[in-house]
Amino acid sequence: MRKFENTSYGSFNEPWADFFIDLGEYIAKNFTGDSRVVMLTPTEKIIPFLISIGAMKYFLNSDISTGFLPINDIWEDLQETPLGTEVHVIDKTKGFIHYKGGLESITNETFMLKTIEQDGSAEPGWFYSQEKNIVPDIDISIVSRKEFLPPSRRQTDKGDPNLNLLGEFYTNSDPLGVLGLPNNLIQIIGNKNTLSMESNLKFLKDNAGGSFADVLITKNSISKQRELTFLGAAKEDNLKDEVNLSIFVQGKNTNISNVLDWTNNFPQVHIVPRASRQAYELIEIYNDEYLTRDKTLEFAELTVPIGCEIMGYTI
Amino acid sequence: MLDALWEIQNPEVVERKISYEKLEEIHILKQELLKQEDVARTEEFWDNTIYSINSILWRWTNTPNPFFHKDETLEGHILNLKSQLKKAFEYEYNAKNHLEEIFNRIVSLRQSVDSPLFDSVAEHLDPKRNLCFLATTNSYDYLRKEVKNISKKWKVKTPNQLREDQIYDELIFFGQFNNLFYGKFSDPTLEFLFTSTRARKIYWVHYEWISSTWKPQIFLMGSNDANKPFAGKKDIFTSEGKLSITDLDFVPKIDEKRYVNLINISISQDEGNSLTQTQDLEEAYCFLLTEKRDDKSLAAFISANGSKALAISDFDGDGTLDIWKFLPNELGKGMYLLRRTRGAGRDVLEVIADKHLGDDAAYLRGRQMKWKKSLSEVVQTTGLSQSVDLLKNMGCTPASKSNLKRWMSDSSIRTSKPSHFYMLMEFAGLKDTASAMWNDMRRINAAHSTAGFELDGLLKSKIEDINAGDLYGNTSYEFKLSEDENLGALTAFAIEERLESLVEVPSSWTHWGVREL
Repeated sequence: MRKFENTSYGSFNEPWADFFIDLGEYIAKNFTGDSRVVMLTPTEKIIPFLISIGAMKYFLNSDISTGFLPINDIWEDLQETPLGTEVHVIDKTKGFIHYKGGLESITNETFMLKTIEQDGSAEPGWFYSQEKNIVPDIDISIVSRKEFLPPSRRQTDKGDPNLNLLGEFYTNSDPLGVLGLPNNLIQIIGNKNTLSMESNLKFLKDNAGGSFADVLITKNSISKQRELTFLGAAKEDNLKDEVNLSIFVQGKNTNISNVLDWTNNFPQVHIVPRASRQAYELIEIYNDEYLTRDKTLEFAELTVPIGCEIMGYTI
Repeated sequence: MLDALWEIQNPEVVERKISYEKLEEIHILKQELLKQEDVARTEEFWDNTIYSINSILWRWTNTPNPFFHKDETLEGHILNLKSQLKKAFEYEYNAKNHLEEIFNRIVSLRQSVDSPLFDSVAEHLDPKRNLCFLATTNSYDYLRKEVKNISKKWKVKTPNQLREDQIYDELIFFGQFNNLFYGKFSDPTLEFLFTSTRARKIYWVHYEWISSTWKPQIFLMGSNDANKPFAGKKDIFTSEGKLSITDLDFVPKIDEKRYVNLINISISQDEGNSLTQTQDLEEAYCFLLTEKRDDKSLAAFISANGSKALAISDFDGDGTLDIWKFLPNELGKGMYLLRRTRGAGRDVLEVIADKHLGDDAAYLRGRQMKWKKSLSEVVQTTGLSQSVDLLKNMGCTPASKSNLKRWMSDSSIRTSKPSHFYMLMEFAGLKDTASAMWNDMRRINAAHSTAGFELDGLLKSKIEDINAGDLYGNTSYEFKLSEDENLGALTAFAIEERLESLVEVPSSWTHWGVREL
């Protein structure tokens, strides 16, 4: 059961909602480079969040990060990790503290993170020796291929992740894994006010409650600094080059045609509600692009719900 | 609600074909008139006459209103037909008797209280179900009054109001699809009413003798047919009538060339008027308005340079009017274009801005005119293209023919960036005073921004509490901006048509008022 408190949104229990989650996972898993998926839909409501959940499901199990593993299981990998790489540590010895930083030093028995730019400040570090039976109660996640740029001031998470809700959506993964993923993994671009409002709508999923902000870790859901999913307005200056998936949503008082030329060599999804005043103009552009495509993308494994038209191509 | 919206995306479409002999007979008489030897649309007299007959038939074909219902547009066309009939007898056209027969039938039907489209369908609909009657601005008022008397659960919405995600059990659409979609000027995105439905069942109610066909135009070329609206079936909205009467044969089509000629004549008349200053021409969209003045068409022009125009209608569907800005190509039938029609002979923004500039207004406006005059003089001696090249070489990157014309025009204040403005001043021979001039122009610009907010507030206070039904059905509606200050008045004009081609008109035509053609 998936139901919003806001009755004008109602529930999203039916197969159409599962389709968009599956679609997000399918795109993240199968499409690479400048792939573009275009959809005409009866509404734009919550679709980008469902697609993001699907993509996040895949990212949690991909090689973007190792996911959180006990120190015993990841120590060897950590030894081979280049200095500066983004590493996350959840320290359970003093409760539940999440550290995020660049790997500053590592020896046979110790490692330290650099979490702020300023030199000489106290930085977290841990001692580990199986021989001496010193095994701290910590889980570690290594973000592959990502160098960490330390911020100028110390950053702390203001809230705990909504583990119950994360567990409901990311059933085959450790829900804590989202904390081990880098910022700006996904961007959703459209009417920022509407996107922010929808991301914070409260809903119930079976026994857990929360919002898409909790599930996708948008800004301020845990802290100002943790932002796996970036929500932004349709202006080219706002777009993040580092994202692995971009979702553009045509909505009221916004026009995604402003950002159609933007690419970052990662897949994009474009959602156009049929009732949009820009639908005709946008679809003409996408159809022209489709005619000069490099490759057609298929969705044969997915059951597309009635009301949703979809095409995919690489540009 | 979201589950329900997705669930209804395969609606049942029910066609209701309505017979009504008195209207059908006029269609047949019109067919006969067209067969007469001297009737040709290439003749201005017959073009004008057939346009009015088509407009009347088209209006009656597509509205559920009773034939006698108040309708200024219909009245205008009937008056025009009366005058054309008189001329037909004067000129002794062979087809004069055919025309007279049609005119008499129209006048007779105009007295009728019958409303065949509405009456024949309403009696079969369930008052307990949530129904939505799709209205045009012409039928909105009538439908609202009628359905209110039948059921509280029945609603009347204009197409744009349904862009929101409310859903209904049944949607009732009256008339022909080409009433929504014919011509480049129509808004193709309105097809969402059928392809992204807001109701489980769609009733298409129209007259039985008319053949028509329509299919969705917005689709993804790379999508599977199975995912397209109505699973890609092409004949969902095809209806076979009889007697070869096809809806497209009586869609009122304007003779675009004739209007372009009328515009050119009007420009020449302006130029011939010694009191009128010779002005630069600029490309503009031409909107033909429903309102007529002394048998002449009224037109409003909006610059094609990317400017937006103010339009009013109930865009957000709350039953009251909204005032929104649109690019000219986004303006459609059913909207009302807002034009300044009374007051000082200049932009109301300037009037309000000058109020904010206070005692300095005259001095600052003088400064504004000074740099424009200097610039115009240099451009006149140097030549427009040469001036653009020189400015670009100086580093004034936005320099282009159209921008330079705009900078020379009375209405522009300054460039966006000071560096470009300084270059422009250097080019105009005002290098030494460029900085002071920039500061003066900044003051004017700031006053215009404040004036913009004030005007927005004024307009909203005047317009946004008005019931949409009070406006719909009128050909125009005047708003006085302020009771206390002499800010003049604005008039909302119903849009009838838009010329497909852009026309070149004096810049001043694009700023305010309407033109008689």
